[in-house]
Amino acid sequence: MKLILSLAWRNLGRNKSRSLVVFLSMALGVWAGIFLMGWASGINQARTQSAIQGYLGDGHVNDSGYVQEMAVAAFIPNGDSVADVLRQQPGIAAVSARLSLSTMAQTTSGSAGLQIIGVRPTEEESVFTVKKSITTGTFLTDTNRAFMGMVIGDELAKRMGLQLGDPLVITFQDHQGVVHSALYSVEGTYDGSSNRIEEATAFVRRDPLADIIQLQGAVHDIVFKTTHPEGLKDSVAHWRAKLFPYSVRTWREVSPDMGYADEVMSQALLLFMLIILLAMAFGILNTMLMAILERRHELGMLMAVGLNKHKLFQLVVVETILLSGIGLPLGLLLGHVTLEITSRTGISLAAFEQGLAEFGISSVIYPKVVMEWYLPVAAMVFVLSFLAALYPAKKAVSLNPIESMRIL
Amino acid sequence: MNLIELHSLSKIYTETASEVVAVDNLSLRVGEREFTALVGPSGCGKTTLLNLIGGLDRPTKGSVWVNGTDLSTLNDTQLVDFRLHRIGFVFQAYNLVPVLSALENTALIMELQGMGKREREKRAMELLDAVGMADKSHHRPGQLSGGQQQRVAVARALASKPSFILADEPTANLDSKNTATLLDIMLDLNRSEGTTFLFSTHDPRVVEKARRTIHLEDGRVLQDSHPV
Repeated sequence: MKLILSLAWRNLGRNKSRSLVVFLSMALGVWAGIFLMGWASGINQARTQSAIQGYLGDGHVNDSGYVQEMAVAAFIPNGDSVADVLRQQPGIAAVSARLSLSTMAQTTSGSAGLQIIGVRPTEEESVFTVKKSITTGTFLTDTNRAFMGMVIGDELAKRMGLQLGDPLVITFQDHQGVVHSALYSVEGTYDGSSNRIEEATAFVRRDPLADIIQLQGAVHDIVFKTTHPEGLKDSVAHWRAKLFPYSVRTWREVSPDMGYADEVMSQALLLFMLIILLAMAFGILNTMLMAILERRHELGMLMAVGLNKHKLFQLVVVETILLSGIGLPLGLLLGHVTLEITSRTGISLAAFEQGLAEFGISSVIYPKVVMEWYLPVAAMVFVLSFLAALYPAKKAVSLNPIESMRIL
Repeated sequence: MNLIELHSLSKIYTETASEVVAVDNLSLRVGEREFTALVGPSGCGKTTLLNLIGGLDRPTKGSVWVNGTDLSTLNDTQLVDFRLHRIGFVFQAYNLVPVLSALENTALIMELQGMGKREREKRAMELLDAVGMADKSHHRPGQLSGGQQQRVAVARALASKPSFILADEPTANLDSKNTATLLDIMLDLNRSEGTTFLFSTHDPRVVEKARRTIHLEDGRVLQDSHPV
């Protein structure tokens, strides 16, 4: 094997420019693939984190009826007590108990469907970043108000031409089917994690809302934040037992599309990498075929003097793997360094800010370094190189020594 | 004892519309320690005959016996192994691996045979010394003249301690000085080591040095100076 390795290695130097082209193309391909994987992963992570911190939380506790239909009647009657039990659990960082109602909001300029979330501001701020995203006014902290305050999204404010202090009336049914109307005024506006959220979700104080629908102490939705999000699945299993018969769900279960995107991202990105490498493998196959054709005389001579087909096959395979493999470390290194730098500095996409906001993505992307990918990428390079070597190797072993030696 | 025996050997190449008889019902014996030249015009069957004896090609009819082994009984893998251990080859030109030094080229066959590094390098140096190339052992073929390359090829052919060496037009690309040098080396090895040489040539300077000359024409033996 040492002879094969030595011969294969030296053969790479026979046509230096060709080997250099393959080396650089492999390095650039791996670099581009690794960077794009990190980039896409960064976008996905930003989107997921934005959703978790902005409106999703790490998990939710609900009545099972609320899980199925988000029905107003599916509330937890002793919601505050349940929230207190949850707060006592190890691993719980913060809890916000909320009322949630589907309403119709009307202003002098029009109307819109609006999901009203009744919260206690301090609880909500402990779970979500909503206070940080306030763009005008306050997050339900102004006590000197003539009307009850409401915090609406920037997009809704823009669409309905609302400003701070402007009145709006919401109409909704309570759990008994009784229709209520309530007059609110805009107390603040927020920049949410997506335009969709900003248009459809508004916040009010929970207790006055509970007075209107006569559900003091009851809640629809208990949202929690954990101290160790990575152990969420195991923790939730434990909390389910404690909070029976209520439903305890992780954010993945609450928002399956978000969870699914997160789960399939790695496979999708590796598939993407595989496609890049597959295209490169054909280039390598072509290079090796050319090399075999150019060396027919020499290979014929080697077969004549006693190089058997098994060793010749090995020679071509090892040469192909070396040819593609030497570009791999450089590509990985370049990809890693690029991701390390850009994951700190971020990459600004200010020009696409509005479009990205539609998807809940910030205009500054922080690519993510995922070192677990390097091994699968390296394995793919070696496997594809091996596959790319098979056809040239087959061509080589099928050479006839006599005919090959006639070619000069 | 006969080293090589050819019994009613024929090789016929079938082309689209005709058959080409390269070797025609040829019988021949070559003994040990011989220094034999196969001569004849181009196309008379010299190279085909060497290919058949070297197990590089299979006869259409007849049999080739080398050292008591009928080559027709060996499969392709066994033939490769047979060539590796029993036969030394010297080809017309361009028969060294360009990325290996003279020493590595000489040691190549021994490495394929599985010989240890120290042992094969020692023997390779001895062989290079025997062909007058010890001082250029670390030169690659591209840094050597045609004559020097052929001397390394002879050293490589001897490396496996073969039963005999087959050389196809070994001096065809050499000038007169290099031809003389190469022939002297081959003759010296024949005399001192007892190495059997069977080579094809149409160079009169080579024919002069041969102790036995076999004239071929149309795939048959026309004349044999010292038949066994």
